[in-house]
Amino acid sequence: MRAIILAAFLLVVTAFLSSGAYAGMEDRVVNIIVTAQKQDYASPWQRGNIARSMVTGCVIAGNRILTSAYSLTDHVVIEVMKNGESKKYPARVVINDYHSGLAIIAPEDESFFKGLKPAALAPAWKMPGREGKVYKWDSLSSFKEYNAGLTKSSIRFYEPTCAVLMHQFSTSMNDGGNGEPVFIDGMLCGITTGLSNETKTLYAISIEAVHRLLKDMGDGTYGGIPFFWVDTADLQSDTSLREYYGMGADDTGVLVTDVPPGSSGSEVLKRNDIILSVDRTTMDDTGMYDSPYGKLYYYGLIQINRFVGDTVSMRILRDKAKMDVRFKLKPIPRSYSVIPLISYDSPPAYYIFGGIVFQNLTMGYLEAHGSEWKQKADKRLLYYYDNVKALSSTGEINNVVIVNRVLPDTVNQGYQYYKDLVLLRVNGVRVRDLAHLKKLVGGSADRFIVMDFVGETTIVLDRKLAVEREQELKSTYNINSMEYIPGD
Amino acid sequence: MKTPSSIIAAALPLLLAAQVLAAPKEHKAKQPLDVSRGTVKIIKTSVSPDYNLPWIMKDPETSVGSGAIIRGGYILTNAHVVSDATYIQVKKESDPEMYEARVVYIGHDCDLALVKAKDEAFYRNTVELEFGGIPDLQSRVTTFGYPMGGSRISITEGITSRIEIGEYSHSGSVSFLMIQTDAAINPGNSGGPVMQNNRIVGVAFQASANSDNIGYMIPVPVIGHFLGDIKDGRYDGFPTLGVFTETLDNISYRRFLGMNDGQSGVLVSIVIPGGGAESSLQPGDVILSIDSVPVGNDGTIAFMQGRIFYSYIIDNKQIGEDVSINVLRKKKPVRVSYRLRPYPSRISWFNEFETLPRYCIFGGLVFQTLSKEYLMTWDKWWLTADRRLLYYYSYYMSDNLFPERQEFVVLNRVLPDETNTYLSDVHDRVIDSINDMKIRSLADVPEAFKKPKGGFHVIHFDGSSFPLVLRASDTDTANARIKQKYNIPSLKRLK
Repeated sequence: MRAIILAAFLLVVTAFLSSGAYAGMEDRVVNIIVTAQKQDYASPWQRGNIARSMVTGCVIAGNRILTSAYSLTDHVVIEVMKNGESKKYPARVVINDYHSGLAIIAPEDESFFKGLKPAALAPAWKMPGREGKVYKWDSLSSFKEYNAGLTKSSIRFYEPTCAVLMHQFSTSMNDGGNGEPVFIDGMLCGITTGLSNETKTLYAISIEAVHRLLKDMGDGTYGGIPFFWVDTADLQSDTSLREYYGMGADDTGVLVTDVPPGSSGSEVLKRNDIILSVDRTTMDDTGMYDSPYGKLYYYGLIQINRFVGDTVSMRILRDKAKMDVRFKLKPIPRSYSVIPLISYDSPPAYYIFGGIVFQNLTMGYLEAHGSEWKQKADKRLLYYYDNVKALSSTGEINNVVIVNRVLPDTVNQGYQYYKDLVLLRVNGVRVRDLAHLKKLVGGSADRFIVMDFVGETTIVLDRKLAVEREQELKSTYNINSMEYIPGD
Repeated sequence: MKTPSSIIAAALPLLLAAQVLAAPKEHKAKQPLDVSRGTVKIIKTSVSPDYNLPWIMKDPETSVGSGAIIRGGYILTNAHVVSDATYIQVKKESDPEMYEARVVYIGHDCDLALVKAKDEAFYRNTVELEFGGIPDLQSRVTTFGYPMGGSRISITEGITSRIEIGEYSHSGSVSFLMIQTDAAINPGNSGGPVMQNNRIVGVAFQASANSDNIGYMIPVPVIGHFLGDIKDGRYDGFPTLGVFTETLDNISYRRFLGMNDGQSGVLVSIVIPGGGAESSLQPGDVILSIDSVPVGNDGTIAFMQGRIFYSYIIDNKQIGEDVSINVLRKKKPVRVSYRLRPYPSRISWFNEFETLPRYCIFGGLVFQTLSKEYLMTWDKWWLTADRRLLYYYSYYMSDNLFPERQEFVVLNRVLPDETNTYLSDVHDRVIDSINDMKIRSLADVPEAFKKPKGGFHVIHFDGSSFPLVLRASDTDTANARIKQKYNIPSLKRLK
């Protein structure tokens, strides 16, 4: 259906080929058609709905196209188009970094870039002005320009570990926030990644993040935004608190409240330390430091233009005495959180035994409850999500394994209403992740598989019967495989 | 017809209870009984506390319900018709006069109450209604009452459509036997008698919010339990079996537990601390029978023509009575017997009435206990209340959260004052410790504040190491200032 509509558009709009009013910009801005297929968290053995969307990219040096990472989520096919022409060029993802929110794609056929020019990037920390322009292709061939006035710059987080410098622009744009480039004085200053239609605010990832990404990629390996997962709390000029911690009148900073093992700095920072400065830049009692873009949260000092392997120094107050600490920035581990916080592009892992569908608790699983997932999901799962740092720090488990649902069958009679249960043990052994669960179940020679869940619920299955029923379950519920466990 | 008023209250329910048991099912009155002379309208004004600002009361509200005059001149009605009452009036259809009344007994779990008119003149020209039994399915019943506040009595007919155990929404989170009827039951019908063969077979009490023409009545066994309970002059409520159980529909689970094909029952999953069964039952026990009544794998027992959840046996017992249970423990049969106790809760799952929220204010910090009433201060509370609080509320028992705590103390809010000005946006945090003293009940809070640490009061919450700090030297004057500024009659109510 969508393809037909798209084709119809092509016929109509070729008549209105761009007039050249924004001369020079059409050859820097391209259309990206993303065909995405959603993950199906309810029935993880199949894929969800297929949708096509048009997003925007910006040509940069080296025959590459820069866009927003979140415009490409769960993509199956990516195609690019230029200059209002109807020809589609298949493209591949060069990098899709959900931590920085940026992606780079490249068409297979480099002739795509004939007639296109790379955008000039604004220098870091030197915004050429405050009045910008946002560009995009509307309806494939009508090129649009919108005004965008810089209102604010701040540190924002896609994940609690990664600071990204973003700018907010006020705009008249109604439909956007999907990778459109923001130019000021002809120079690229940001890539949009969200639009609030209520407040008419356009969010754009800063050029500093683009510079960091390109430099990081320069040596052929991408280290990514350095990992910093230390929790702090603002002291908010609270005089009692400041006195309690023995801070001098001129001391300002933030209080360390949690240091999960594995985070950069975890070997030198301790709970109840007060971070006074990062690399000699001081911060106030709300953790803000002065930057060319105004006050920014101190994570910026550790992550905006820093790389894995860099050394960070901090002046801290510990037990009322000042001291300096230094630590090396580590990369973000592949799985550092027992609840994976970004679960795009990878189908949900699952394992089915006796018709009981086990999955990992992931951000995707929670978000599958709809936009109000923080209200609708099970209260225990939400509590685990809210306290994921503490849960991850114990090191006891790699993932939170849950029962998503039970596919009713004789083998699981009486269990069919179980849902959202958190698995603790199988035959007495604490389950660390899905692969471990599979190993425990598959390696068992016992007559019964006894599964204990949080909340004193137990499921007992006859192991042989469960194995016998597998083929029947597969055909009844049209399941191609009883498991998908990446890395197993 | 007028009842001699010399019968003392305490002795009367005994007679009534006996009447319940003796009532023949197919009783036919010799003469037509004018039931409307035994049905009264009840007008109540009530005030309830505001759990958000626990020292104040909400605005008074007036509501209307119905009631039935029973033996002894008592008016039987729903607890919710007279709960939190400041002023109650009763009115008969034939009499222009309104009479003042008072609550004699009230049972919130079973939603029943006994009310009495203060003036004997009220009882002139009234009849006292007698109790029947459980009506048969599909038999006709008639509801009497004053729905929608009308001044004339309303009589609607319907049939008995279902007899089941269901939730009594007045208290919430409690389920007892209830009878469903398609006789229209509307607001104002509450407390009115449902009659069959001129005898009370139920008290109309709630309707289904989602479907039309489904009304519910409280059946005679539950009324009998209420009347039996108050024999000693006090209402104590229903006992608990003291355990949570899971059904054993799965044959593999039964085999694992060593049950043979002739055995059925339910599995003890949680023994409720303080619930009476701690020294008798263990997790993993299979309850085969309760008082020699066999329990099915789905948790049901034989009842009338069908089956009903086993809790019915316990619901027919009073607190302090014994129960005997046959269990299969580690594949061996064991018989246990123990005394039934009321349900103990560390976080109340019930709506509360006739009670005021406990609180304690120190340095402008308002401490309260976590309860359903507290959570209900949020609009659409189940979706919008603080997530940690909702988790504790939902799972504290099954996840055995902080077993050392008798209750959970919450910092509701901070009343802004110069002493706490940097803390004023802190709210809804569960208290872990104050001045290094672990907080296990609200009463611990004022005790802990007596011992500041190094000139500071230091408060720690669950889930964060970030403390809240007050300068100890400031707090006495701050307390007096806050009390006066916010017009708080008392800085604490611990009981």
